[in-house]
Formats: sequence, C-alpha cells, structure tokens
Amino acid sequence: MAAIRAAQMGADVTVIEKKVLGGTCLNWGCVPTKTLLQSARCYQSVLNSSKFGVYNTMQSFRFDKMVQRKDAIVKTNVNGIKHLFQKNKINSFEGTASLVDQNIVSILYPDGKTESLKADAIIIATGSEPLTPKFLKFDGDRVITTTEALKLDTVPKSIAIVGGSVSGCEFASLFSQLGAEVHLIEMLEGIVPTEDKEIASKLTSELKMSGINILTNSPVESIERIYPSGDVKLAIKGQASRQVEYCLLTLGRKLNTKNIGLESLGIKHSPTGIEVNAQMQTNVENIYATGDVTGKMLLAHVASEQGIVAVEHIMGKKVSMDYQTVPAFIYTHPEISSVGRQEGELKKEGINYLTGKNYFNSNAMAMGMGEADGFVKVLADAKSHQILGIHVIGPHATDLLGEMVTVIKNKMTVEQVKDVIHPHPTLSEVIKEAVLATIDQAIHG
Amino acid sequence: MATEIILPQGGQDLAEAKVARWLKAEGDKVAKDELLCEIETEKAVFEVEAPEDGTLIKITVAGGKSAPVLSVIGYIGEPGEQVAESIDSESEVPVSGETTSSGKTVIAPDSIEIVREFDQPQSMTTDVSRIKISGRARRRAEEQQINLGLLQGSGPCGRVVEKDILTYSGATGQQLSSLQPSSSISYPDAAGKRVPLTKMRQVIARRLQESMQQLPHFYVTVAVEMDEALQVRADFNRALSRDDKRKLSVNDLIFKATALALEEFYEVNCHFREDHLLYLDDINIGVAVSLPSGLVVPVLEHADQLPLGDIAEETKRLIGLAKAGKQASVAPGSFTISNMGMLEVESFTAIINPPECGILAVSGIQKKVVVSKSGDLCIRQKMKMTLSADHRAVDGVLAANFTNKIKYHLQNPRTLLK
Repeated sequence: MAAIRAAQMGADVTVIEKKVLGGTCLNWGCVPTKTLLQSARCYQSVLNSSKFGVYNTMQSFRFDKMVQRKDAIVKTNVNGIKHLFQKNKINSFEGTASLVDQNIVSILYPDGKTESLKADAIIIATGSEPLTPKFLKFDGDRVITTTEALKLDTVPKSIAIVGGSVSGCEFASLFSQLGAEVHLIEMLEGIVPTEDKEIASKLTSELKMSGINILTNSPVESIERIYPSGDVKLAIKGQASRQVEYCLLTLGRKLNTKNIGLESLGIKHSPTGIEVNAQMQTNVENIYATGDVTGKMLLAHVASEQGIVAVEHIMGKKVSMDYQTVPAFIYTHPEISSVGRQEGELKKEGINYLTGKNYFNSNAMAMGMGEADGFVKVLADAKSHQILGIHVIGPHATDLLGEMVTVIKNKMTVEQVKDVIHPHPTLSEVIKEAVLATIDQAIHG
Repeated sequence: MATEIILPQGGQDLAEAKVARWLKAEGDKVAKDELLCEIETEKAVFEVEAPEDGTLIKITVAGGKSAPVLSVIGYIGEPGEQVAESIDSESEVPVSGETTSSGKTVIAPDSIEIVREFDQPQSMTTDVSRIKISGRARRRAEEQQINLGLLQGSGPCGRVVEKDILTYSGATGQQLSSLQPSSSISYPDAAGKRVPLTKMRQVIARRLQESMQQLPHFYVTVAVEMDEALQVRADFNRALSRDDKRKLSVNDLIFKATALALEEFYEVNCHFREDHLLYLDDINIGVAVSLPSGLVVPVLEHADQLPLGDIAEETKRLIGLAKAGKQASVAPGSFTISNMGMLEVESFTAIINPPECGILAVSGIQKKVVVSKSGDLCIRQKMKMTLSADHRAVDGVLAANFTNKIKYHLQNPRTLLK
C-alpha cells in the first residue's frame, strides 16, 4: 500500500521482497486463515441445516479442497498486487535487502548475485515470523506454527494449541468446527488477554460449549514426540499431560530485525522493535520503518496505515500515526471486534463512564440467521456522552465495526448516533441499541 | 620447486595403500587433474590426479608397492629438475625387504611394514608419553606389554595404529588366528579347494569378528506397514522420465527416514571411542554393498540435508562406483543400513561397523493378513527392520524410539517429501 501511494504521489519506487508479495497477512496470516474459517463455517451450516428446514444426507468435507480454495484466493490477491505494481510502474525484486548506508540498499538475489540501489528514502518493512522457543521443539512436522497449519492436507484428529491469543483462538475455532479434538493451552489466567474481560469470558464459554478444551494458568513445560505414532506429548504444569496428533505453537511473533544492516547504520532497535516517531522515522531521518518490525501493533491494517503515513511524510505532507482508533478483530466463532478504550483502562484511570449493552438474541436478523449468541458493549464518557469504546462478540462482529471506527475517530457522542437511522432488519441495530442503552433509552433492552 | 604427489587417505580406517599401477612414466608431461596412477586399498581402487601442470619428474613408490597414506609417492616439477635430497630421503617410503641406509631393517611381509630398531639406546630414550598412538593400539600394546618406544607408526604422520602392534608382536600374516580363542580346536583334515584369504576378506573377517566380540550388540525389531510409502514412491516416480536418476527405490525412502531419525535421536549418530562418546555433527549414512569379492560400505554424506530425489541419485552413483571397484567416498560413516529386501528375507540382524554404534537391517516387503484398527482382516505390505545397537552407547528406550521414528516416517511417507 505504501508503495502504491508513493507511486501515486509521483515517487520512483522499488520494492524488495524476500518471499512473496503481500507479506504475512496475505500469504500466511489473516487472509488464508479467514478463508479456511469460511470453509469451516460453511460445513457447520451444512451440519446444522435441519434447523432451517433444509435436509441433506451428504455431510462431508475435504480439507485438501478447502486448502486448495484458500491457495487460489491467496494467489489471486498476490497477482492483484503484481498488477497494481505494474499499473503504478513500481519495480519489484525478489531478494534479500540490507542497508549499506543512509542511501544505499544492497540486494542479494536468490541466485547469489548482488546489486546495490540508491534511494532518497528507505522504508524498512521486514515484518515478523512465528516465535518458536527452543524448548518447545518446533519441527515443522507435528510441532508446527500457523504457517504449517495452513498447509496441512488433513484435519488433525487431535491438536494442542499452545497460546490462547488471537491466532490460537482462531485455529482452535477452525479445527474444532472441522471435528478435531482441540486443547487450547494458555499460560495466563485467561485467553485473549488483550480483549475486554467480559468479551474474553463470553468467548471462553462459547469455545468451551463448542467442545474446545481450554486450559488456563497452564504453562507447557516440555514437548516430546512419541513414535511410531508420531504423536506429541505435552507436559503441562499443574495438569495431566496431553497426548495429541499435532501441536500448534501460537506464542506471538519474532520481529525480523536481524541481518538487515540496522547495526551498521546505528538504527536504534531492540527485540521489541525498531524505534520510530509518529511519522515512522527511525533515528536516521531518511530511513523509515513500518509494520510488525516496529513492534507497535502487529496488525496488517496498522502496517498499511503506517506505510501511508511514512510515504506521505517522505513526500512532504504533515501527517502522524494515531493508534487510539485501531480496530481489532478475532475471527473465531463467534467473532469478536473492538475499537477504542476498554472498561478496565477507564476504571484504572478514574474516568467516569456509562455502559450500554445489547444482546443479539433480541435482534430479528440474528434470530433469522440462527446466530443470536453474543452482545455489543458500548462505553461512553459520563459527562460529555462521547463514545469511548465499543466491543462486540457475535455474528459478523468484524463487519459491524466499520461504523463505530468512524464514530470513535470523529469523537462522536451517544446523541449523534441516536439520530442516525439504522436499517431494519439488520444486525447493525444491535449497535445502535447498545449505544442507546448507555443513556437507558434502548428499545429492546 | 617440485610438487609432492601425496597418497590420499582412502578411508577412515586405512593406514596404507598400494600403488596399483602408474599411468604415467617419469619424464611424462602431465596436466592438472590428469590421472597419474591407480591406488588399491583393502576395500577399493581409486585414482590419483595431478595436483598441477608439469612433468612427472620422479616416482618414489613404484607400481605394485605399498606406502602409508598421506606419504609422498612422486613429484611433479620442471623437466630435469632434481628433487631436493632432504625431501627425498625424509619422505622415502620403506619398501619390502630393503635395508635402508639409516641402519633400520625394514621387513614388510604381505606389504605391511614392520620396523624394528636394533639400536637399543636410542629407542629406550624415546618419551613414551609423547608417542602418537590410537587408543585401540595403546590398549593392545598394554595387553601385550610392548614398549611403545620400539614402534614405528604406519598411520598418518607416523601415528601408531593397532596394526603396528599386531605386526610388531609377530602376528603378521596370522592376524586372524591371533584373534581366535586361544583354546583353538584342531580340525580333522578334509578334502577341498584351499582359497587363501584375500585382503578384503581378511579385513571383513577381522573387523566383524572384533565387532562381534567387543561390542555388546542388542537388537530391536519393528514391522512397518509400507503400503502408503509404496504409493508415495510410485507417485513420485510417475512424475519422472523413464531413466531419471532421481527415481526412488524403497531403500531411498528408508535412507531419508533414517537420516531424519538420526537428526532427532542424535545420540545414535555416534562413535564409541575409548573413553568417550563422540556425537557426530554430520549425518553420514553408509550402505552395505555386496560385491563378488566381499562387502564394501560407501558413505552418503550429509544424508539429512538431501531431498529424496538427491538421495536416490547419489546412492545410485555411490553404489555404481563401489560395484566398479572404485573408491566411492572418504567421509567417516556415522550409521549403516544393510538392506536385503530384494532377497526376500523375512528378517535378519547385522553386525555393527565400529566405531559406529548402530546398523539397520532391512528385510523384504511381504503381504500379510493383519487386523485393522476397526477389527477387520485386511492385507497389508509389511516390512521388518532390525536395529543392532552397541549397548555401550545406546540404551533400549533410545533404540526403540529411534527405530520407531524411522517406522513413523515410513508409515507417514509425506514427511519424507518435505
């Protein structure tokens, strides 16, 4: 995105990519995961179709076909980027780049040849990769990361997922919907610790209801393979050991700050990221960093926004990055989305706030869809009625958030949203009702 | 200045080799990498190439003569150039039955050198603790109470090796009998054709007898269901042209599975040394190859780093060279596979090739009636494999886990394609 914006603004742009254009999100992250989750949802719909009066006798799926579909969609998207690059006359090279000096980048091509490029400004966007602590014996065979999980040709009979963060929960949801025995193992006292407590607790109970075995306060102490079954045996502190076919490590990500020449230019960085200002500049003023490698928020939509801020700043515009209104999503079933402040933060900071809540089970559309579980929670300033945060768990939570990102970004109040007509029957009515609930005016409260 | 032609180290346990024949004569012009001579070891024949362009000015070890490995066998230089006398005499190799000018008598029955110093005083002053000697030789010398100062090593850089002890103690030519139990049985005369032991047969006999007598072998047998592996192999080969060298044999699948198992259970990828275990960095797997004259074990280096197709290509090359009597590989092996699958054996055990600590004996694939998980009778292609392990280095659970990991990979053959 940064490259395209820069080209649109008249810059001569070159992109150097080590693996495949599109990075983690498109190739090994969100997009393939969401695509597979959609296949899993489709299968669940087929399984539960009798609720809708639809009967079918063939209730089967082929995971390899799901993976093929996912691969095709990823490929289409990658080709889309290539097309946009061509259209915008952006040069792109496959190779490994490293900084030589403030204006020179050297490229090592896969065939071993090297080349140097000169540039007025350089953006480092080397991203991150899955973290695999040594004692957990990642082997890429049965002890895997999400990268390998997206390439399996069959659904594991049983799988232990170590790390109850966003991707851990998403893969738990995926494999559980496809019939696997899933153990979700989290070291901390709860899964998705970055989410609103009430939402996290609702997700926990929903995932448990769907048959996922969730272990919290349960650090994994060691992992060993058992042969000839090839099973993975996990020793877990305070728990009986678990023996499963696969073990998926979702323990966060390691930032790619090595071997790119940061040291030689004295660019300040640590294992938690390259240091940047609000304009995404590093301490070397014409060298910028964006995306996961800055360690800010490891989300694709943050990365692309950072990229655009960096490019616009390079091209002379006055811009800066705002992390206050970054929306976050989890594509589990049910889905989760949120934007703005959390209740816990407001309490801690002593801010007086109003809470409004509305449940999907009072919404006609949600009932019609057969997905009436979940709720919307809105937090507003007690005095000004400015909406400070919104948290959703339920059907299409991720799509519903768009409206509220605009509301939060523009510091809108409860009354302003109250005046907006929401279409009926739609899920978006639940959002409006939750906003109204902060001032006790919800119709379906 | 003349360049030395060095007799290469032809194998890990070789101390000497024979110059079979020179392909060039003194005075011939040679180009770099041109073949100079053929070397014959106890196990194979290989070739020595010219280290640089020039003229073969001197041959110091004539065809048919033996010399220690890493010694000089000739020189390349300018036509008419004289080889410096000092180099010449230092590097001069003792040859059978000759008396050298330095007063040493060199006797080399069956082309193995025995060097005995007759000048007692000199030898008595040798600092025994500083003598280069292999662990095994030292132990044997202690057993036989031999003064190490009296020995001249035939190993690389004059290192004393076990053979020097055996030859010194007069066992030369009767090495085998000396290894046999002292209460040897006298056999009645019988009519038959007497065939003297070839050098290769002697080596096989000595090494395997030593292994069986000195290494506490134990055995772990597993039966592997090969149906899926055979399917993967067929699919892999179908995608290749008829004479593609990457075409897989069952042995290649076993090779890859074993390499992966050695990677995880590195404790099996080990040499047992006198007072320590040496866990090896490289995974070099030997494959036993049968020749009319005996047995050789060419070694596939870095087997863990090669994809299946490369393993197939490389083992074909190594086995081809071995069968042609050429030296196929020089890397020390870390494990050996002996496959008699094509001979339709039900099962067998193999003798460990020391200093390695394990050998896998692979038998034939046979159709068997088995009871499936759901309790049905079905026909499956089963293959037995037996690991022989040296219990000094490898314990039972390790051996079982290691063998079962090989089984896992063969029963989940897609793991071999990664």
